[in-house]
Amino acid sequence: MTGHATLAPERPAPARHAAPLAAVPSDRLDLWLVRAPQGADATALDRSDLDAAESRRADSFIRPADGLLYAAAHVALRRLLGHYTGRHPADLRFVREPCPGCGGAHGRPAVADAPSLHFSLSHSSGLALVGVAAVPVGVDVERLPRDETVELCVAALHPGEQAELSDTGGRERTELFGRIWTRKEAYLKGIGTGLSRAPSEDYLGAARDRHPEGWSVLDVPCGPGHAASAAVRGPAPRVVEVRTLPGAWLQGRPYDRTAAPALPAR
Amino acid sequence: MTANLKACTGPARTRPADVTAPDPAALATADHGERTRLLDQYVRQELGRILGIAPHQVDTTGRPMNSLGVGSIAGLELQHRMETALGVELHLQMLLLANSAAELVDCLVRKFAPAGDGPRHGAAVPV
Repeated sequence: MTGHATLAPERPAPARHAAPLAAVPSDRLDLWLVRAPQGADATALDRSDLDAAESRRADSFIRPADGLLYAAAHVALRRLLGHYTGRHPADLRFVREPCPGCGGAHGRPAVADAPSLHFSLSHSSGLALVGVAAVPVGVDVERLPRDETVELCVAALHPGEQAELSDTGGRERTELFGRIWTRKEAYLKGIGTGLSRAPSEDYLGAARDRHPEGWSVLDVPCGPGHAASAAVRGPAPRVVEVRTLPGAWLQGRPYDRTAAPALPAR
Repeated sequence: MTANLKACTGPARTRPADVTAPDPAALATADHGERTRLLDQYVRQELGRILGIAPHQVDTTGRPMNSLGVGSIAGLELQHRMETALGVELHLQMLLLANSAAELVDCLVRKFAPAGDGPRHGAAVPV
């Protein structure tokens, strides 16, 4: 965590609701943790805001739990972005920005006709993370890998990161790998290349002054089984909100802007 | 949290048998059909090991890698294991965005195909 803008522990979601959000200010980063719904909450997940491609994708996972998380994450994304934009979640249309490498239409995802709103979504083994900001943002969450996986994957990292990992062992090493990898993937999603840029190119280790210029990378607290990070273009946001989206927020019909479940109070 | 993680590992997580990689020299001399069979078998084993399922349970045709459960770290592990075992270079993004495991098998088949053998792709044949 040295030198990083470590975020406050997540807060329990309050029962009271606030009014729908306005546009996110330029010095603020909103981070929403979404846990895969369990039991009755899973049954009550309202998928009706998903488009046909998202529904097909949710049904395509070999493990039903992965499909459920995908569906919950995308319902959450649409409902959150519906609040930020004032549009109905099902009406949001997603586009791809041009790839910074080749100009092709496979860069960062964006909401069509909402150029001042930036978002990023990641999900892994029961937990999803949505980042929303007024500047380009990337987020990543990963379940912490097995020791054997860490051993095999270290060689793909930046030499400086490999050196830091060689000084650690056991649980500390696994957590450090998770931290470095999620920072890296969040950054690569933020700049729009994703993993088409080699993981060895950029240093996202402990020395913050050696991080890529022009970006701020933050570690996101998300519980013991996962690592999560966010990257935003420009200086570190003055305000970083990390909240867990209540399960009830992903349920319920009819869904319209006046009857929408409200976001948890700040 | 523990309960959640257990639930999310999904059904029938088994410990698959050891993975046996095909000999790169044998792949280079095999005909197209045999090369495809050997690499399909191998990719199933590697995916089964990483996903914790039996090789025969790996759906190679109907699901993209992400739907199989291969995220970025699993993709990185898969890339490393296959590059080491087969002596070829793979691109992580290509691997993660493959529309199916069969697409990955096809990519490997092309890497071992002599010029002019099997279906042609791109400008692989020297002029």
